[in-house]
Formats: sequence, C-alpha cells, structure tokens
Amino acid sequence: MQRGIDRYTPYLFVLPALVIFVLFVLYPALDNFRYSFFDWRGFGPMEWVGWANYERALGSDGIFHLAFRNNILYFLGTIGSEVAFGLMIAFLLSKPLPLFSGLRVLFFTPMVLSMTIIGILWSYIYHPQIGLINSLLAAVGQQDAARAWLGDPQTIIAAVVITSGWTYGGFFMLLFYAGIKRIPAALAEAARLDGASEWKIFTLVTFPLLRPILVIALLLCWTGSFKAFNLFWVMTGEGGGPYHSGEIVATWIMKQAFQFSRMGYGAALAVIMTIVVVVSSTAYLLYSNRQRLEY
Amino acid sequence: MTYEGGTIVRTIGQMLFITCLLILLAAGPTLADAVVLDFAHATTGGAWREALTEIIREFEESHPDITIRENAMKDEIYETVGLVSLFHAGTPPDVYFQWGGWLVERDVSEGWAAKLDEELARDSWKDSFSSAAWDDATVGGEIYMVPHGMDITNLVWYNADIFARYDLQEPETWEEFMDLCQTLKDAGYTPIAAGNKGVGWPMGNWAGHLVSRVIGESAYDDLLKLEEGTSFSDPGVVEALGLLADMVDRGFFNIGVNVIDASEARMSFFMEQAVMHPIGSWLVSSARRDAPELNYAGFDTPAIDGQGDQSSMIGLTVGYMIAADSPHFDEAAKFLRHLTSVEMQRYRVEHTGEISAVRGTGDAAVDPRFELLVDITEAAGTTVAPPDTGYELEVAYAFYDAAAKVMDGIDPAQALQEADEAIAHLR
Repeated sequence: MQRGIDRYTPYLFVLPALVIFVLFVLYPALDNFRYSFFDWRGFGPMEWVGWANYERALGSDGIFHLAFRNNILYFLGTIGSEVAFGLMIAFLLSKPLPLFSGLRVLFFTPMVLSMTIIGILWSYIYHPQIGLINSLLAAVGQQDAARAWLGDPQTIIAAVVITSGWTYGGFFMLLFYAGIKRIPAALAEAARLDGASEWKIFTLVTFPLLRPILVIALLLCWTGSFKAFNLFWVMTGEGGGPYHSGEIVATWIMKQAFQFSRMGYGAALAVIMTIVVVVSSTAYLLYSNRQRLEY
Repeated sequence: MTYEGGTIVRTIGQMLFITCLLILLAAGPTLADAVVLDFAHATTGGAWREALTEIIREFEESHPDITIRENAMKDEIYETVGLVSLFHAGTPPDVYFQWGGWLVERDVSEGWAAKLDEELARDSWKDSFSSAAWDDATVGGEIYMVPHGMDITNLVWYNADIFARYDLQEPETWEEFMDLCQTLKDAGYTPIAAGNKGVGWPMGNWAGHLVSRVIGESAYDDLLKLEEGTSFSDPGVVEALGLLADMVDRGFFNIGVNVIDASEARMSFFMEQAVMHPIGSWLVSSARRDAPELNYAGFDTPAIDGQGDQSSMIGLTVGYMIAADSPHFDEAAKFLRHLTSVEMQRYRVEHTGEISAVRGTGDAAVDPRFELLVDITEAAGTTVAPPDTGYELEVAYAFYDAAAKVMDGIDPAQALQEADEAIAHLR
C-alpha cells in the first residue's frame, strides 16, 4: 500500500498546478479556437462562418500582414539591441575590476521599471519638439537629422527596438554573465598563453561555449517579440503608430477583439500567431539540440 | 508549562472581534439601506471634472441613502473597450455617459439601455430640455438617453492678440482661410497646432466635416454607412482631403502632427507656439483652467465650394443613460434629475463654459466664448455627426487612417484607396 501511495504522490503534487493550467490556459485556448470559427462581437449571438476569419487574415487583411512584418523586424532588431548588446556588455563587465559589479547592476536597473513608465519616458525622449534626441542633434548642429521618430514609418520600429534594448539588454547581460562565469578560467588562460588576443579568446573560446545560453536567448527574443504589447501600445499612442506603421500582431488582435468588437476574428488572429510561435519555436529547439558542445 | 502568550493572543483576538462586531452593528443599518449607484463616464479632468465632483457631493448630501460610485476612464478607452467591458463582465453601471447617435443605437440593440419616455414624461421633466437635443437620444421613436450637452467636435480656435497684431479677420471662405494661414507663416508663426497621435480623431473629425461640406451631408452619411455605390475613393472625398493635403504641403501645421496627441497640441496653442488650433468646444473648459489669461476666439470651418450646407457644424449631443438591468432605476433617475436640474446645469455652464442641453442656462456662462458656441450652434443649418460616434468604429478608424496619411504627405487618393481596402470586408 505504501508503494501504491508513493507511485501516485508525484501526480498529486503536480495536480494543483495542472488544474490551474487547464482552467486558465488550456481551456481558454481551446475556447478561443472555437470562437475563431464564428462572427461574434463578444456579446450577442454567434454566427458560424467556418474558415472565413482565417481566409480574411491570410488573404485580404493587409494590416495583419503589415503587423506580422513589423513583428519580424522587431525580432531581428532586438537580436542586436538586446541579445548582442547584452552579450557584449556581459563580456566586457566579466572582468573582476573595480566598479564593474556596480555597472552590471546599473545595466539591469531598467528591468525593474514598469513597461508603461518606460514607454512614456522614451516617448518624451523621441518627442519631435522637446525630446532629448532632437535637442542633442540641434545642439551639435545636426537639426536637419531631427525627425518625428515615433511618427515616421521609417523609424518607428527602430525607435521601439532601441527602447527595448535599453530595457532588456540588462537581462540578457545577466544571462550571458552567468554563462561566462561557468566557463573554466583555465581555457581562456591557455589560449592567452598560446598568444591569442582577447577578441580571438571571445570568438573561439567564450562564444562557442555560450551556445546553449545563446539558443535560449534567441528563443526568448523570438517569443518575446510576439508578447510585446505594452511598449508598442504606449509609444504609438494606442493607435499602432501613424496608419499602423507601428502595429504589431498583439496590438492588432487587441483592436479587432475589443475596439471593433470582432471577437471571432481576433480569436482567429490569436490562433494563427500561436501556431506560428509554437511551430517555429519547437523546430528551432529540435534543430538546436542536435549540436552540443561539451567541455 | 503554560504559554501566557496564547492568553494574550486570545484576548487581543476577542477584543478585535468585539470591535468589528460593534462597527458592523453601527454601520449595519446604513449598509443595509444605502443604495450604491455605479456611475461610469469619461470625465477624468478639466473644469467639468471639478464641477461634477461638486454636483455628486451635493446629491449625496441631499440623498444620504444613495452613494455614487464613479468609474471614470479616459474617453478613448471608454468609447472602445471600457464601457463594453463592463457590460461583458456582467457588472454594468447603473448610470453611464454616452455619445449620442450610433453608440446609443448600439446600446439599444444590445439590450443595455433602459427606455426613459415614461420617466421623462413624469413632472414634465422632458420639457426642461432643448428640443434639438432629442435626435441623438432617440432610437425608433423612443428615448434612451437624457441629454446633457452639445459638443461641437471641431471648430478653429485662434489667438485673438496675434490676429489683431496683423489685422487679421475671421475668414468666411476657405480661400480667405488659406491666405490667413500664409500671412501667419510668412510672419514666422506656426499657423496651426494639431495633434493626431493615436487613432487620429482630431484631424479625422475635421476631415469628416470637410467631406460633408464638399459632397453634402446626405452623401457623407451614406459614405460612412457604407451604402451601396459609395466609396472612399469618390472624387468628392478625394477633393475634401485634398484641402488638408494642400495645407500640409504649404507647411501650415506643426511638425509631427501624427506624433503628438491632442493635449500636447492644445498646450502648444495655450503657450502661443501656434496661432490656431482646430479642436472641439471642450477647449473652453480646458482654457479656463490652463490658460485663463489667453485672449482667444474661434470660428466654424469656413465655407467651401461644395454641395454641402456651408453653415453646418460637426457635433453631437452627449448625455447619460440608465442600464436596462439596473436594479436601481428610481435612484438612477433621481441622480439624473439632479444632474440635469437647471440649478446644477447653470453651475456647470458657469464653471465650464460648455453648452448645456437644459433650457434656462444660456445666460449662466461667464466665459465670452460661450456666446460663440451658442451662436455657431444656432446658426448651423445642419449638424454632421463625427465619424467615430455617428458610425461604426472600424469604418471611422479606416477614414481616420486616411486623414492621418494625408497629414504625413501621402496622396489623398492613395490614402483613401487603402481605406477602402481596409473596410472591404464590411461591404
């Protein structure tokens, strides 16, 4: 009997979390999938439309396609502004030098701020008249370079990417710093004794050994780009930027479901986004797991 | 060994319990008899916020058995997801603010709104309102909204001192308006401050008014209702947005119109960084608080060579509704009677300079701009509904997108064609 209880004990421990997962994640996700086949305002009668919502999303909804493109651009941008920046700072600050631990804390500090506050703060930095960037450009005689950073379709995504880098760069710095600290110092020493420069040590010793962390970092970047909502919503003034130039999938879903009361269509967009993220993330992890580097 | 700490804890616990019991007993009758009226609205600031607070305070003082519990949201949130979320969640307010027109029709069709004819007939309450206020409050011949005020959603406010300095007069025609803007630009001023950030309703509303002036009010109504045979790419609509495009090309607006919001543009006007500011009648209320010394006046959009009524104004009636399922209809009606009483409305007009829908309030205003608003209202042959309150939101926002693109220098025909494509699925 004792053995029987022992066999079921792990499941009993997992059960509460599983119940919460089913109630608040799985069930709503499945119900959302059901809604996607209806024309429904979120209230009132539901009219079955079959695949019509999906046909519209993949066919004629130009704004959805634009939003998806913006998500991809945002992801590609944050590889540089978050991951690469975090890696560079982690490497530079991994030396046991005075003040470096304080600098690491400083770089991490934006992570503790609310996204809304960060969005408002950077909206003022990018302000066309009183913003810090345009003021600095004018101060150095480059007023012609000043522009409406959040109002120009050419620059709006880049502006949010930079803000994102400022916010999350510290998080990725911490991730890579922990990884760098795991690498035995003897490896770098050996390379140094062989005459390798610091750059060669980074590219041929440190960077390859950080690969597992880099895999996770890129995955977080990819999934994070589709979760991004607050920054875009606040910085584009809840409108997705001038004529949707700053629209991303999450904000477009929000507008369809709640502003235009097209709950069924919003549900279909959410299903498409989920499928894209899950399939791509799974494929990426399977591919990444094929190659391992042990030391 | 005894644990004396347990005795102390037990004693404290008993004292707390008795204290709570006494409080409950004292508050019991109040809690049991008090009615809490949930009141949802979009008044989060300005002179009307202050006046509303005082009006509610006076009501609660005279009705100690009724407490007003406010739920105030920013108007863009309220109009789109805010109010709807309250009804979705099964926690509808008892009384709520609404813009007249399509939104009232929507509430009625969803079964959210209570009929008010019977209540308004009692004690001739209905007769206390201006007769012009009922159009936007009525659906299918029945009244669902208690009118509160009239908003003119777009007129052109101007700095009277700067106008006087250059001996400029209020333009009567669009050509005169363009000449006036050019004179100001040549003098080194930013002629017009505009902030269109977000969904783009400030310039979108003005664009809507221009469209109605060019193609006519009936054609404008058909256009935004997506009637068969209409298209945003119709030559008249393109012509109307071309008027805005011409102003953009000539540099009459501040930079970054689509980047700054309406409140920033308003402050730019108050700080005299721009000479004119096209926005609604609520500017009077803001100016009383933020720029009491500013010498300003306003004029309706000048006459355009078009098929519409050139004396038309763009505006709507706003008011308050009672939820159909409210268990406190009588108390809600009492509150609205108090809110729309002549005494409270005179206080409101005096405090805010806004136009009241209640008769007998016209002489209460101390702000001279109030007379201007009344004059425009009385002179207007027609009232055109703004796109986002008179028509389906998705259609309105597609039109606003087109106006925003024009403000960024994109060709009106291209902008309107893209708007057509965006709402093609609704036709």
